Amino acid sequence: MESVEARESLEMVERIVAASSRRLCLAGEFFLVWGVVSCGMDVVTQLIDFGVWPASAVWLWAALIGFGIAFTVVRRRALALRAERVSLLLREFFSVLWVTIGIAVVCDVFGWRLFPGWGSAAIWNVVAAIVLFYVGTHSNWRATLAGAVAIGSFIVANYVTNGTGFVLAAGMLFSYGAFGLAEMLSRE
Amino acid sequence: MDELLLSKIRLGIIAELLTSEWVAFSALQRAVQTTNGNLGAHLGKLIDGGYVDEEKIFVDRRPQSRYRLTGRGREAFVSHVRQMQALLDSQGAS
Repeated sequence: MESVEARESLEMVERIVAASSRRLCLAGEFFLVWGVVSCGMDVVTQLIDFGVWPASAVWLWAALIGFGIAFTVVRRRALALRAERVSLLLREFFSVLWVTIGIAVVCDVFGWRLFPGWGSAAIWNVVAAIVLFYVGTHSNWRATLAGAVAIGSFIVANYVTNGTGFVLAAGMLFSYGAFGLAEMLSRE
Repeated sequence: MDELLLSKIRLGIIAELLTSEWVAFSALQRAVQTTNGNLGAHLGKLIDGGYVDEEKIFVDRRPQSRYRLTGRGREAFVSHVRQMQALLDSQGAS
């Protein structure tokens, strides 16, 4: 092999790898659905806390989570079949996502004394911020902005004593949910 | 140098697969910009050499082929790129 050919081949490889490593294609619908589901759970909790709804309304949580899980399983299966490529970066993103969600679940279930009251709901705004900022590190300014909204809502909720749940709910809707909607619209 | 990777199309295919868990035939074709037959022939050689694995599935009742890089293919690619780099370095030094 001549050195000119070697140089051309290396340049081609560099171009392909550089282009591939930037591909973090995300399905916005999952962010939108989980943003709405999380928002709904916070609103339900807040309405129960205000005494507007009876305590038994907490079962709406199960309905919301059930819908979120069913949607995720069905749509992910359909999308995986239709996708033309799954990048290692996307696999890494899902690893980050599951690790973050797993830690949050452990905090929620086993840290009930450490995160009492709204603390357990606020954890999910922190999770949303971590996931969105991670996506943002891959040149997605919308994710960075949404991450800032998520962590901002967490801070604001800390100072709002009457309606903390509504602030956390708005944070999830306008960060996770809005990011998902923006991703969907940008691909149309 | 690795004989299988001396072809630019085959090297391009391996580079495309390097950062992906798997890639469908249609996506590979767009990436390396060649005809169906040509891409199929090159992929066949990479599969025979143990560098690439092929998986056939049905999407909406239509057959689709997906490809992934094997450990052997990854090692061969890294070794090949190192040798090309060494060649360039030696040319630069002389």
